[in-house]
Amino acid sequence: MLQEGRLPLLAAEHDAVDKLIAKHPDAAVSFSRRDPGETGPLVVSVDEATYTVAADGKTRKKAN
Amino acid sequence: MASQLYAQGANHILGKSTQIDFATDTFKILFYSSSYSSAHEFVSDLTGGSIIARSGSLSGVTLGSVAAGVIDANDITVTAVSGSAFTHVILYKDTGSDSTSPLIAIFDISSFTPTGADISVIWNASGLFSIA
Repeated sequence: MLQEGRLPLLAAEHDAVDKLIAKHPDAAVSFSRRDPGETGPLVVSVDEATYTVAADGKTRKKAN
Repeated sequence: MASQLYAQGANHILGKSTQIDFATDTFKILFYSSSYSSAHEFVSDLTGGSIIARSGSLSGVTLGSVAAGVIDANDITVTAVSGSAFTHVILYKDTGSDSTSPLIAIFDISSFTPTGADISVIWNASGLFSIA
């Protein structure tokens, strides 16, 4: 049920998540995805803000 | 103690007070190092120091998609978790305030000691829990 490490991400998604973490060093960051290799925007939470990350790494902040 | 629904969480699912709506509400998980209590109703009832980390919002929360009466959600990674070992993962509805965020379900895990690395929660393919 629990494992150390990230759910599988595309390289561009991985880089985008790392950039969000670097940009918000004190924030709680999490993201979720159903299956390894699943396509579609990755949903990333940074504290109370939500971002979507496309397969090419483009990141957009979702309006609350 | 086995994994189970919170007694009060079941009441909220059935319509009490916050009236949990799995189609529209925001759900999160937290890692917890203390024990289950049937008296606990909201996140604020938990022992604050035993909350090791919280996730952001779960995505892909569904009711009845896997099977009738089954709640499911996407797997989630919580990044850079540090702190004490924890023994439970708790699902809750996030209202924005701990005092009104009802606890829904508690999942027993083997003691897990965070190292500062990311932690992924892989839900069972059959879903998180069933109310059928």
